[in-house]
Amino acid sequence: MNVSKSQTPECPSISDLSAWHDGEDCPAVDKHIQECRRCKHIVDFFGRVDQTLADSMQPPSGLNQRIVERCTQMSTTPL
Amino acid sequence: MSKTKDNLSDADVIDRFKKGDKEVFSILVERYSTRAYQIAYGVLHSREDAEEVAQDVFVRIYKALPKFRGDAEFSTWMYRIAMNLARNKYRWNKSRGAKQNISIQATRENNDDSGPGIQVSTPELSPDSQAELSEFTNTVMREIQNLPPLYREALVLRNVEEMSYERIAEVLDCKLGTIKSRIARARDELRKRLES
Repeated sequence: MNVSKSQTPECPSISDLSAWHDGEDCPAVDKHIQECRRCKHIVDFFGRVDQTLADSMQPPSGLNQRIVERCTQMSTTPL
Repeated sequence: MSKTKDNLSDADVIDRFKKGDKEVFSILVERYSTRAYQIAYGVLHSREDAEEVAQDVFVRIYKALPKFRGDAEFSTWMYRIAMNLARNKYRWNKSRGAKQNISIQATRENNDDSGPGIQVSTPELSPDSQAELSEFTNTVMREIQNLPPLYREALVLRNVEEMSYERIAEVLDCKLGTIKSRIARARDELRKRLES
């Protein structure tokens, strides 16, 4: 779906859209998003970025064990 | 009635540690290692570097915990250490001209220590959609690295278990409005770069 990326003067600011995306309560933005494909496109993009970050930041298996082992080794080694 | 391991607050754990029960340290590791790793990975975009930083965070904490006074919550303290160490590592890499070598071949099933890579598995998607998603993932992560550090750090923290703006402001020692603005600018900058 091609959507014009330019917002109109009636659109909420990017800052307001970003805060709304993060859960800030704003009925005006709620209503606007339902009517404006441009702003819907923008907040959808924010969601894709968040999901991408969340997916890619998963830690490797065994991390906890390696951390504890390193700390334990340190505590048994005279400083 | 003594508390079980899961019922111990961070303050309880720290108190026991200070009294000599070093084994309880693993509770803090279990609770916070993922978040330390996520902060480091978000800043550094290298699995190897992120693990090194995550380990260093807890080594620092292990050494400093006996003197921890609890002026701030333990989690805030941990987030600050993680962000500082990740920032230092980022600068060190930058000064050495380190190149990011990103592989998106690995899936979450192969979630091991085989080296740097973004691990995304979406088996419900078609191969074409997978490729498109991988390209998007790769581009997003690369462009996050190119954001101004202040924007990148705020956005990364926001994505660590959906940290609240208030907590991010506390960790980065900024005003709430500044955090809101930095996160919005980070997203807007990414959008412009990715959709241009």
